[in-house]
Amino acid sequence: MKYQHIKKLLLVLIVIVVNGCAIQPEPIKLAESDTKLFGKLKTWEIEKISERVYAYRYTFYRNFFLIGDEGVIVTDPLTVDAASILNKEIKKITDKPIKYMAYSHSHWDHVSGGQIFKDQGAEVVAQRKCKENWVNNPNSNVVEPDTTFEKEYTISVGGASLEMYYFGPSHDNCRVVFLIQPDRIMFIADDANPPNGLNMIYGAGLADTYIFNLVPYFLKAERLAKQKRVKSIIGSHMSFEDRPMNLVSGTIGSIKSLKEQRLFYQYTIDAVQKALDENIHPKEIPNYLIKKGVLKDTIIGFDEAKMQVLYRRMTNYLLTGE
Amino acid sequence: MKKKFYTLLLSTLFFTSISIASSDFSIEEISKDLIVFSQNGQQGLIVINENNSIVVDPMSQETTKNIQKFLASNGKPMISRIIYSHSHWDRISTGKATLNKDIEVIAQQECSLYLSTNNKNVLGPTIYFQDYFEITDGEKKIDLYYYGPSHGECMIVIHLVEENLLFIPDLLHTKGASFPSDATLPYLRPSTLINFFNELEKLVQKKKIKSFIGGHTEDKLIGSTSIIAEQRIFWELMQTTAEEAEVNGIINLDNFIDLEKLDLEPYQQYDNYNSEDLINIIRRYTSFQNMGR
Repeated sequence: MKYQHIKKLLLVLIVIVVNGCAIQPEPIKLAESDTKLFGKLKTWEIEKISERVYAYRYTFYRNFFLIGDEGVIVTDPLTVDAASILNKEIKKITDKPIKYMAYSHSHWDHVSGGQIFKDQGAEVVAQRKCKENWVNNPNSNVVEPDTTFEKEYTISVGGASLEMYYFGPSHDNCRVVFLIQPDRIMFIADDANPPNGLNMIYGAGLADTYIFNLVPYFLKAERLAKQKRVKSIIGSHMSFEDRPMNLVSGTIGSIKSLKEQRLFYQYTIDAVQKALDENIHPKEIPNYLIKKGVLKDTIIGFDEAKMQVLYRRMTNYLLTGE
Repeated sequence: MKKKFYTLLLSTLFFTSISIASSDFSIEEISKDLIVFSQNGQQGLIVINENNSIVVDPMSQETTKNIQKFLASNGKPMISRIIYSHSHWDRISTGKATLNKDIEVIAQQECSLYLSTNNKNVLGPTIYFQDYFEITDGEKKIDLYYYGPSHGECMIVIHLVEENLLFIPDLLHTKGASFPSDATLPYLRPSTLINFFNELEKLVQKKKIKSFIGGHTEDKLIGSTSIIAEQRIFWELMQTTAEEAEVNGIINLDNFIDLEKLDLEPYQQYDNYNSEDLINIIRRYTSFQNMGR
């Protein structure tokens, strides 16, 4: 009896250790630019994450590509220049064809420059609403998708595949959750950048963000991560540790950033809701919350000017539903 | 003859103003069957027909009750239809129990994105339309037009045909082209906004519409439709400024413009100008330049 208890306890401990302290892949640098960005980091770099998964950072942005037995999947080409460099670097790693190019969402700063891959015969894939956005506001540098999907879609290149999940509008109306298989690594453009999902966000005005679905979106992503036993997430942007100017590469880190990102939004919404419930005049809410020091010790790199805008945005959301 | 009457009425800006004692709810009669009501700085319309009344943007439960009181005490038919100009709760939270269950609620299709979520104070639309919807009731005709996302996803333009008058909330001010009240532009859709204004200008030209009513209380109840083009020019100026600022390298890493390197004269002419707001607006437009949204 006693032995069984100890066995159970050991099992629980093992689960806790495995879940909480999962060993993260250590990216290996394969190539980098000669030029530097602000004198510190290289302008671009290619890192190998596993036998099939590679990350490409260009300035502050990052995408990834997968190499399978039958070919290559590239994601978000970023810019014409970035895509040209990426194309050259992929050719140095493999002679396999570029089979697919998958878009994470519709924002031009992530999806420009894909023609170089399209010209090689890549099939371009995006969520349906992304295509609508590019039809409504075309950009000559954005290649329209050949294939669109509604809720879920998977592309495979033999031994490596990319699953795409659409959980409704969030950061734009068509952003998908990328899940790299069989490595079980996630990627959500513009959010959940490791190492900290509670970092101060870049665009506090949340332009083109559908706030009403942010928390549900991340909850669905978290559920998916749990169901698929995802342990790691690739950051779509360079990140920072402890303070904004302490930049770190943030290539890959614990999936905990996903939950933290949801909490970031949840905490700010809740703080504003509480102030409304206390009958604070909507116009006074940003100053009121900042003066009270709400979330000052929770949000890493708390920036008063940005929080003014963010609290204002959340107040508008709670008053109007948008 | 009737049209001449309304034109005269509108041009002299002669309204009957009635206050309801219980709150800051007030009404102004444009005619005996077209009423502008206002409360807490926002305003909507009541269109009164022989057998029913139509309300545009009933605002809140309190406002809805005040409208009902006003209609009942003046022997007018009760509300049978509601039109939502857009999805924002601050204009449409009537409270579900306030109104008859058979009421017809009309909104543009894209509002469903926001109205399908369960807000206990917002009546779900019974009719969704795509680009155009016509309401005809006796001699009264109201046309609803959708020109794509502008202020939010689903804002429409309401044309009161008999009076040849438009109702356009939130994007226009009767005093003239101006800076927006919230410079963080939470709902603005820059990628389709100019098209919205272009289509609106075409409608005004085609239907020879001279006047509009806005969604907020202002000194002037009625504004000239010439303000539509002026406001479009304002937004085009913001877009051009952001484009030029990118080219000239006066945007910092956080995407904010260096105002010291900008000639501010073209912006200062607009009502409600302040430099901090200008910075925030240009921030939104530089994001738009980068993202296309």
